[in-house]
Amino acid sequence: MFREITRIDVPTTLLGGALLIGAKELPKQGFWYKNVTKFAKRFDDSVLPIAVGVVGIVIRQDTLRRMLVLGLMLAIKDAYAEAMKEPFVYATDASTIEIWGFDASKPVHVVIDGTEVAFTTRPATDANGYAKITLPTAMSAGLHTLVVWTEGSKAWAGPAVV
Amino acid sequence: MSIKLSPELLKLAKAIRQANAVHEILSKGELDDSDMRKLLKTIGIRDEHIDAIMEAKAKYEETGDPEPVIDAVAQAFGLPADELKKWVASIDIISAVLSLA
Repeated sequence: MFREITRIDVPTTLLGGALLIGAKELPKQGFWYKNVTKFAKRFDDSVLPIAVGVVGIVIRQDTLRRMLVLGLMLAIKDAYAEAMKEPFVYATDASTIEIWGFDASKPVHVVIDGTEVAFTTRPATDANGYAKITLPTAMSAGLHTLVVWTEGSKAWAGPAVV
Repeated sequence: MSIKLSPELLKLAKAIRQANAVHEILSKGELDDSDMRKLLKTIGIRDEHIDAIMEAKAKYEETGDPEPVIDAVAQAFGLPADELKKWVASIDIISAVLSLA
């Protein structure tokens, strides 16, 4: 049986991230602290600011080395957003369901009205935890109860109306 | 009873652990070579890249030219050296602009 942890006590904002790390590298009096969110938007991910920060550490350049903190905050923010992504299921039509936010690249199990669907080839999620699943038998018109889970730790249960 | 953590939560826990470990090292203030190696290791840089960065650091201390350091760091992170150079050069300008905002 799984137990999914859906919440962890981590700040969701960049400033929260700064506080988490301690943010002593961000000068209290300075613009870096006040504008860190604005500044972070210039970066698509954490790699570049971390690399710039490492250059700053090695050549002992303070402004550059502060980028390391910004990069680490972005890494936490991205990992948090990924970890908190809730699974979601939608029945596109009577024989198709789409799923989002499940374990990446894992086999998918589908239970409809208490009976597990037997697939000839079990569907699997892609690297983003998404899958479009064609059911071997279409659902009848009306309300159905779906349980979808991936061989990892994510599961979803809810209704589908056809 | 054991609790199974998803790969995403493990990644988050790793990011937090790394940040805390880096903060602890940076809190020392001035870093010597051994602190610097520890920091580079903490953020996941492989040993051979750490050696190359430290070698570049020695060159920088002799010549005052940061280019070998930027090249070595770009190599370690798999980034194009030109892009990293561009950012290193522009950070001071961006900082100055933000200070006026």
